[in-house]
Amino acid sequence: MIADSLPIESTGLRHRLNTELAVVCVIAACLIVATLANLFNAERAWINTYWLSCAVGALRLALVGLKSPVANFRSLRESFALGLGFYVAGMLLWITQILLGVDYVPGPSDLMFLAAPLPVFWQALKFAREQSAITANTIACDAVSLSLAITVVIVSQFAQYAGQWTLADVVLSMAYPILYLAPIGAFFVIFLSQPYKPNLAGAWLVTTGSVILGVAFTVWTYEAMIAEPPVGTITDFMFGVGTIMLGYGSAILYARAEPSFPRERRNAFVADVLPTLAVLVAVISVLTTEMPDPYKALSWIFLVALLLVNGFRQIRLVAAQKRSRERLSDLASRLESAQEEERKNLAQYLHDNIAQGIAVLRMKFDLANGDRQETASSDSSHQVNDIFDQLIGDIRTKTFELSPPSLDDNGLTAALGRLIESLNQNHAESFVLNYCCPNLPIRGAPARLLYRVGKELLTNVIKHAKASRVEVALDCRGKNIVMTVRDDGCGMDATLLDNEATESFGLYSIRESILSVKGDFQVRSKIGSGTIVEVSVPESVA
Amino acid sequence: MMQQIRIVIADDHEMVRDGLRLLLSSRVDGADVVAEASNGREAVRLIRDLGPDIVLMDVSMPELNGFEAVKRITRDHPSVNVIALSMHDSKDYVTRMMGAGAKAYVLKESVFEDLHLAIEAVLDDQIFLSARLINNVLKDYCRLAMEKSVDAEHALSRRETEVLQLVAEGNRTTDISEKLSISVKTVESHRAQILRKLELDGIAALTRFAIQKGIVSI
Repeated sequence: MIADSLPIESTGLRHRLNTELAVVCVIAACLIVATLANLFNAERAWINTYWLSCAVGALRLALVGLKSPVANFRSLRESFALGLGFYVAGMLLWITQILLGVDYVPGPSDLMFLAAPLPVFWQALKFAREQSAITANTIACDAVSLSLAITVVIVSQFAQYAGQWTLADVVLSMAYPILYLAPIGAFFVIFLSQPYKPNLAGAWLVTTGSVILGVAFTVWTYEAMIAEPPVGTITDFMFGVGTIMLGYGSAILYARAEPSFPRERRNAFVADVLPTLAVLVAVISVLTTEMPDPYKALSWIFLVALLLVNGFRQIRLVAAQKRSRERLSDLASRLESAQEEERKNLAQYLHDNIAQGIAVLRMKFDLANGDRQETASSDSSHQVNDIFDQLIGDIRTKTFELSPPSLDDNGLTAALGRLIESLNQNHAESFVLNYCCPNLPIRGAPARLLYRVGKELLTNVIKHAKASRVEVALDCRGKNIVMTVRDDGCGMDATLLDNEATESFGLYSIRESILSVKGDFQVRSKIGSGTIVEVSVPESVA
Repeated sequence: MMQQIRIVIADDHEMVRDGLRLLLSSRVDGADVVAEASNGREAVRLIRDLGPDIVLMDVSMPELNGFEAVKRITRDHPSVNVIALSMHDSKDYVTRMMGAGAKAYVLKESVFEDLHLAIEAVLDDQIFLSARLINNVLKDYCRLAMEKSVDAEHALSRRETEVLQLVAEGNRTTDISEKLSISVKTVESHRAQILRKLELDGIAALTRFAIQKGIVSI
């Protein structure tokens, strides 16, 4: 998506980013107030600020959805309207119940409340899937492992409160906070996948804050449960866990959206954190709860199932990532060869048809002029000839820039030789080409690839290296063709190359194409002592 | 009666062939275009059948390109003079075409000025290049000539040059190892290295080389 690469450096986007952060702060504040109120057994009204946080999140979501021109957000808007409908219906039913003076019983209003976040949750999942390479399979595994974890917790809690609470009470107390975290989760999905990238500090602040909050709540809830359990503790417990999930979830989403996060770490992060957390919660729940036997056995069965699903998920995820990387690099190289083909066609057309046509035109002009050379002014015919020659010269330069005909006709060394000749004419540096290869000429795919790489590397040298001497060497080692570009310029920090964010697209695409043909690409450089880039490509590249 | 010059034109663009025919008829006395070919294979066949004096051969053609066509023509019909015609001005094209056996290389944009000169030159058994090409080709020639004269000595390391000199002066391996205080094995490996680098096949050739280069005097 082109929009993904938009720079953040615009005041409008900054403004929006700040608004999002403010909204997050409001939600966090509401959550804190709600929890503190619960902690100190304050009035119900204070505890209800928790719902306020959900409302703020949902409202913001609605605004984003309504304003956004992106199709994803439009479908989100529709699902949000649906969810809102459920919610309002639930409210009306609930208020009617209160007005009629009926005692609280789990009923249709609860169902409405529970259904309300589902459409948004579904859209968020869809959106997350479109934004990342994570397959439906992995998401399904996540969903299963989350529900298994929840089931384990429910079973253990139900066992503990058996007699005091009905199953419906337990399920509802679990389901509410989890489902209402969904719109906030959805909000984070959208917030972090916006066409602009959130700044590093902000995202980490939100993440770290949520994690600390969640850990504190979990510990507190655990203590409260060991001591005298007040009603509503399970909600708080889940709320704490949910906050951790939210925090980590946003961190994961952030990590996916931010390319400067090193790839390996990101993969590990995405693959491990969420499911590990689910397993952890389930294990703690089973271990710390005293249960009569059937419940205990049931919990352990669920726990084993959970671990199995997680293992499966992990394997699928790694495979999916590998596939997606392969697809990406395949796509990149196909794109490159399609472009090259196009450039070659254009170059050929210009050179064979247009330039040749002009040459014939010039000849006919001279012929026609030659017949009356004595009478006509030869000055003006010289001028016309100069224009013809200049046109042909321009086409030659352009042809060469687009795709040097030598590359196919006479091989890599001829084309590189011509490139270096023209660089020597136009730049202060002194360029040299050395080759020592028994199987010359190098043609076809490896020649095209190496020429492109060489050109890009030389352009980089001219742009950045401030070198006085640049050497391009071609060598054959076994079944590989090795090209070395060596300069005596200012050098660079070669470790920076491992960071995708600092890598230029040119260098990135070079590395991709070389790795996709199972070649090798190495940079050796130190600040102040020149750079050596060595590229190795198998002769048999198709 | 003016002597007839029998010419075959090989170019895949009809426009170019027409232009050349017109040019030949008005600028070259006695020019007789006996046939035209639109690809290399056809050109080779026509030349075999007609045996012309001159072929004007485009470099890039379908089916059989100019390089291959010229190679076959000069191999099978050495009396036919090939004049390469092309839009390509890179020296690698010139080198390759001349290497294949062409006697002249004319850029298409300067056919008006150059073609009749090229025809005169090749008929006189001389070489002709369009003016734009001469500088590049000569530069290359000078570089090669310089490399040849300097290279052989410079390619050898200091120690190898010493060994070369001693070998050429007729010293035995053991003598050399004593004189240079190195092992016999090392001397042997140096000698093998020198032979490999200079592409020589024995001590006699090596001595001859050293004398030619003035490393040893007789």
